Amino acid sequence: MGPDALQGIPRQQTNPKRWQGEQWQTFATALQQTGIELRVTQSNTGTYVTDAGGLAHGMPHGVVIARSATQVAALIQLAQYHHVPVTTRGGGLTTEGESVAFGGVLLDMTGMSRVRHIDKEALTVRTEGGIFWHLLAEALRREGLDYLSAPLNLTSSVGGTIGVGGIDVNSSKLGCSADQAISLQVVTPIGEIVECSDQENSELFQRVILGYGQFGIITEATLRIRPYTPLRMHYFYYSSLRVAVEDLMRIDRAQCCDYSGILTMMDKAITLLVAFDSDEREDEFLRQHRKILRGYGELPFALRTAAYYTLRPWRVKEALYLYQRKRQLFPDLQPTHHMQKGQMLDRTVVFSRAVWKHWGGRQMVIPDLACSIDKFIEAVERGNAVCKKYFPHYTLYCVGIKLREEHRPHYELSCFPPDATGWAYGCEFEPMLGDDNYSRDQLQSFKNAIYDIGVDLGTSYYRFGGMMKGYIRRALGDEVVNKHLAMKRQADPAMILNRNVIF
Amino acid sequence: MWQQRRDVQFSPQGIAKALQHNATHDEIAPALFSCLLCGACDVLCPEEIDITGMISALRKEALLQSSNATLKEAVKAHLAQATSDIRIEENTIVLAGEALRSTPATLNKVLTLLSCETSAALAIDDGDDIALALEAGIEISDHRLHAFLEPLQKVKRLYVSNVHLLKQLRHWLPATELFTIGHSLSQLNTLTSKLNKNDLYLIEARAYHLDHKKKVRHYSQLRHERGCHINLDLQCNAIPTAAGGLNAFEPQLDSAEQVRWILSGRNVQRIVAECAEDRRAMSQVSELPVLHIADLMEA
Repeated sequence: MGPDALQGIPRQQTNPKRWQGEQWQTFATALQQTGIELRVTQSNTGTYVTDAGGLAHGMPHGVVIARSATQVAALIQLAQYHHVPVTTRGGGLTTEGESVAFGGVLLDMTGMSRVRHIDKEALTVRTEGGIFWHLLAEALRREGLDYLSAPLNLTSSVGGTIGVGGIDVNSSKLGCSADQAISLQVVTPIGEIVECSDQENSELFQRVILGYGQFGIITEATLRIRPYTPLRMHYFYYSSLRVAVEDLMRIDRAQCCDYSGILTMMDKAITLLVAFDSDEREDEFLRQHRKILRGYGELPFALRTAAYYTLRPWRVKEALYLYQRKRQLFPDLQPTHHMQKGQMLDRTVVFSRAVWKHWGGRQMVIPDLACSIDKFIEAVERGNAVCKKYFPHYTLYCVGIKLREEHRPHYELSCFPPDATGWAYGCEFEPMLGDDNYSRDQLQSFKNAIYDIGVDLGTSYYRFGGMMKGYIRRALGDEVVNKHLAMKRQADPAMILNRNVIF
Repeated sequence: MWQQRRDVQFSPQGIAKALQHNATHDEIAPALFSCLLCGACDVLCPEEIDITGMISALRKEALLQSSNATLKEAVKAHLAQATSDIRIEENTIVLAGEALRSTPATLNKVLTLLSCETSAALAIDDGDDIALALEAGIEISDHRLHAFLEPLQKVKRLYVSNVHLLKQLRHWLPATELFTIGHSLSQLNTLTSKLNKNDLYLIEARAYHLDHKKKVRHYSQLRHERGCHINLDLQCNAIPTAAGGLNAFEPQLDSAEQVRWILSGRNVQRIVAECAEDRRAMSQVSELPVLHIADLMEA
């Protein structure tokens, strides 16, 4: 790719233009007449000033806490009538300002976070859309049940996740979190409350799933669930990214484990996580598949790494960083009170807390790429080179996502690249910012450099949203984008719902 | 707080963000005084921020600056009621608290069980009013504090039911060995050996989170060995009943709803609480037999 290849591609500004509030006062008066509480003080609106990314900052004119589908529908009807933009927000875990309101109403969905019904026979749960996954897990565990797959973060919400995808370390087996949705209650952009599924109002269902909040607000969801099982965990260590990624894809294709993923400390210590739901699956893997993996156990890898750095004393700082990072991180990946007989009891909690503690920070800078199998290794290696150029310390997180052929209509205009078959692979590139101060420009430049790899490779982005506005046509083509834009205009005449996220 | 309010305003994050955006003390007062100060946030915070410390400090400021003085006056009136200057001669003293004192049979068992090495005696003034003032963020007069602490100066070992009081006693009486009553009893094998898989064991949440690292091992082991249910969530934090303390004095959260959440989905036949307030709250909602852990002595 030439250095000027991306010239002319309009980049999404970190802060889109603020809506000027032309009809705000009329709208606010009408809303209050319906009895819906609208919070307008600065202390209320300021709570939502930024998202997890911490780069985009904006204030809504007012905040509404979602309490029921009827209330949300009434709000949307008025917003549509008065052309007032509405930005929905769950856990606010977006990174490009997608859940930040640049004027208009911010609708906080976490107010709708109750579990409605657990069907132990049919293995389904009906829940409100604003619930955090770990609170859903809490309710399910009381019944000896568990969700199928969810992001490893304590503050991601069910509705938000279904809107963007959601990956877990079992996504290579079970698909993304959005794939677990059986049916949804949706408030459409004109304020109708509609139940939809693959059988009922299927077109709406297809657009809302992985639809980036463009075609409706998920107020309730019915999800597949399963009996709870503790996790039997194994770690294999690599010094080559390529070899580790090849092994990850190999075990995914062989379907010989229930959980898999890669987590790295730069490109020096690469850990392949492999885990199982049952002793039988674990035994079978150890008997038949362990030998195909080229990774080392902890001690042999430690010895190899020590030898590597002994011969390269000028890299002592890097060696010390790896050692300290391991010392801090590893105990939190297997805390004794979450383990029993060598099995991990609560992966949701253990991984999420480790992510919070060891990868969290003031800003969540995690650009990513989602690729077909063929392009994945190149994407990881090129992204790794970008990380190296910008930051001394970083982490890569790679995971496979099983694609379900019957869900193809859900994936259109989604994060899944159109050329992916069987599995898509996602890689997140996360710098370890620590206490260092980086300018917004530097962090945004880093993210753009990763996104440009996606454009160059003709692939997609797992978290796409705000940044995608500038890339979407290159990544997915005019035909698909125009089709969805036309559908959006029809569904949302005033274009009020989650403006500037994609369109 | 989240379980009942489902409103980010009623969360540490919401309080902090509101303050960053010029919230007045009156604006954040409902959230500040709804917090149970159970300490679960302190344990969860990846940045190890002292959130209960922050909320306690903000309560003090709010009461100093707030135009609504109802709570302050009510707690102050309560404060003025109890004073004591009887010097205590025993080595081991129990500050039982009102809820435990209201069940004399259980209290006697507590005293017997805590009298393993030396005889444990009951303090006449157990500082309930001081505990309430500490929780509310209200200043305690030197006179009252002196009357409470002076008799305790020579005591070697103190068993305390109220954790807000215990926390402060660590500063006020640094040479004294301080324990919570419930946790101390939970370490007696004669009692815990009577727990089984049909029991729900209720940890006193504030005491648990105060020394979480140490206690999480103890209770995980207890659950593992006895197979009993415990009011721990998936993060291994204890779910509080919202009984007792400031919430009983000036209710902000519904204790019954909290208890129903603790019981939800648990198939148990008996409830064993290590805190008298929790036992009382459970008895009001559940039809199951509810015991204080000391009652296991005769169970």
